[in-house]
Amino acid sequence: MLETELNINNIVIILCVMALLIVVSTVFLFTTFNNRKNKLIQDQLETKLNNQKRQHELELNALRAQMNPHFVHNSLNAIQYYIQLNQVEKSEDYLAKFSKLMRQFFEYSRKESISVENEISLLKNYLDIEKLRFEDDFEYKITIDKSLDTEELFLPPMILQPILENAINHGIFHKNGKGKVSIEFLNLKNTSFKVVITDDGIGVNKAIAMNKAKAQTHTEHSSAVLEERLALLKESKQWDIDFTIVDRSEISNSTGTIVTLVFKDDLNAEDNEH
Amino acid sequence: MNIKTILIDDERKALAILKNKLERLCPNVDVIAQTQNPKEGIELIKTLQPDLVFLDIAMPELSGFDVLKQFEKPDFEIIFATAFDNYAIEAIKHCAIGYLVKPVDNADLITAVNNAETNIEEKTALQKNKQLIENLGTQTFQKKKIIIPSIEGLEFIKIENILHCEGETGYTKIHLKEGKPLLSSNSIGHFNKLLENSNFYLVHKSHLINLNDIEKYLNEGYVILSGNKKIPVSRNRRQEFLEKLKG
Repeated sequence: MLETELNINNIVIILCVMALLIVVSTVFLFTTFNNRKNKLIQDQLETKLNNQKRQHELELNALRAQMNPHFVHNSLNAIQYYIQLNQVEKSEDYLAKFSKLMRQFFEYSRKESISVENEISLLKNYLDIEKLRFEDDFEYKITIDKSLDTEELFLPPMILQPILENAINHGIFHKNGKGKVSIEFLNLKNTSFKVVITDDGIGVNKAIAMNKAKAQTHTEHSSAVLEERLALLKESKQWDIDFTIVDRSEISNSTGTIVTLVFKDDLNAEDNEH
Repeated sequence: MNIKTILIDDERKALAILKNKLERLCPNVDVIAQTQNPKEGIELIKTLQPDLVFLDIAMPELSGFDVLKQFEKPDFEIIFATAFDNYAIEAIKHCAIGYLVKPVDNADLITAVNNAETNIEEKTALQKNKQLIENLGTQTFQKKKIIIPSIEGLEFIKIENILHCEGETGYTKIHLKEGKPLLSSNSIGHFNKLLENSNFYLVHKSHLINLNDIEKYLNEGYVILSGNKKIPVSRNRRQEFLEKLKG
């Protein structure tokens, strides 16, 4: 009798201890699990926030690169010129083109990437406006490798336009007589591609010297912005773009500047490893 | 054909510019009235029964859309005008109605008037305007209908019924959840612009898909849509597409 009571007592104690253990371990497991989950969520949130922040920075930079007041005012000035000449259709045409280009600028600068096709359309609009401004003194040529699929290749917006703007305003503008800019899109291995922008202006060395003399450093400023953007893009691990600039007088008898951009497709390289 | 036309825009200068352009570039447009006051515009349309109305969208008292909503049977052709390329234009495009952005490009104006002339002959204004009014009252994107002009006439398609669009040279094939695919002479780019804010995504230069209908994404670069349709996702678009899916 006494023995069974003792046994029951023992069993009750053992059961209580076991129950306590289970409760304690459940609470313990639950809290560690919860902590881990929270940490994971927090980490994810943090990376997301960081990415968003970086994206905003890139957008801001794109905006800075596009909003060149010189271009805006030069264009408006040229429109005024045609108005004074009473060339109604030409002024209207210029104004409508300018407005379309602004729309494209606003639309594309918000995007992370645009197709080469869209970029070329923007460049053509931009160059047509510059052509109106320089009249017969300026021409341009765009060549695209036939093997290049312009609808399936992408690049960050507002990279090429500032380079063209430099070529025109600092290279060709200071040159006497006609000026020409050529833009070549070349296919490289896989989905990498190269863009070569060549002008026959005064060359980047002279342009920088002239600007220093004028204490007006827009050339330097816009290429600094560009290089800053390229670095940021590289950091974001989504782009790898090589940028080189050469004064043609250093390598040949001609004058002018050659800017080369190589858009390397690292993502693609990874893909091929599979 | 002489097109009886009314111009409505709250800005006096915008009216003057448009009138001047129409006189120079579109001799068959006969401007019978113009007003800066949208309420007066409604009365003018009711009494003069124009073929065509140039209607500004952003007006302080009554927007262009509000003007349209005042009519039970809006059977006049409209060309909307706006300075902003925003959601309003998207709504107009959904219903294949004409529009112009300001400052107005001369070539665009001529095209818009030519299109309007065809539409007036075909008497499609009432259907399209009514659909626009209906869409403006519908909050959910995919519940709206888009109008696709075809050889026979107009097709009214609820956006949620479009599974995907396939671009071919010179035309686009619109695959629906039920029934035969539709053909449109517009490019896939046109449909991408039309639907990109309605949860559609261009996963490939010739494939625009309804994101609501994705059942599976395969790492090798395909999506499976409802009905077991396999659509390729081009390599360069994958990253952005996956980010979009994750939201």
